[in-house]
Amino acid sequence: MSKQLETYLARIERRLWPMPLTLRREMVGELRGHLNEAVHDSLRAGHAPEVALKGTLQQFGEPEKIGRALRREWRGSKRQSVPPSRGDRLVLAWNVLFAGWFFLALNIGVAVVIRGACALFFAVSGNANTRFLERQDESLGISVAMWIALGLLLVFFGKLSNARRRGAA
Amino acid sequence: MERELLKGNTPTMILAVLSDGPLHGYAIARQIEERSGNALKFKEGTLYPALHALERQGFVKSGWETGGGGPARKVYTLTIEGHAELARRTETWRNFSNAINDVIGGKRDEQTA
Repeated sequence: MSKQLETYLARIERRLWPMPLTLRREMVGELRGHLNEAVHDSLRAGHAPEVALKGTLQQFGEPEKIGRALRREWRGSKRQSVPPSRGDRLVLAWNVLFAGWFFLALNIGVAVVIRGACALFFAVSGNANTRFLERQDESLGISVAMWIALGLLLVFFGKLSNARRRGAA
Repeated sequence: MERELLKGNTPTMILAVLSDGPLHGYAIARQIEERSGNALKFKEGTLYPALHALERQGFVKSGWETGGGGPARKVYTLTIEGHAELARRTETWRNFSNAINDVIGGKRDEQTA
């Protein structure tokens, strides 16, 4: 019986993500107390254990709906209690730039490997396609320039958001 | 009872039940059921988002109670702001209910000033 109850509670808890773990546990603990008490009362009223549990869970509602409603409420409270500051927005911009920089760096890494493989292939086959390699060099040059520009922007935003945070503190 | 009507008035009913003293979630559900003569049967899980919203708005406060040898229970208490909110909501409800009664030819609530 308790396994069925825990499965039901787990279905609610799954919907509570991304709430902090302690808060999720606290909420589920509160709901568990309610359900245990309801089952207990139903048993005292003379219902069979299976009937008591089924009736209680039915009366409590659909777990996914409850989880979603709790999460919505938590999100609402988060938005209301901590309005995003300018510093938060700068941190977000920094994160976006970092993601851009990371993928560009990855792109350059892949391009360098392809360029090296092509050069090796042409050298081995004795059929050098210099036009192809020139085009590769051009695109690699553009990528490196963008990588440097994004890196500089990243440093700038990092310093700016740190300054904002220090100012807010 | 219409589900939407019930859902919209759940916070008011919670505040009304808590005006008699601190209660935990399960007891709040039982009180609403008893006071309505079992006419208001709702999905009890919907109580908790409403309770948390009321807590966020400062109308109720909560604390864990460990007495009685049983498991810890989260108990909700009406705040001063909650009492004022209950009075405001009660007045709004009476005005609304009287207006509807006037339209459909029902009985007016005598408690309205």
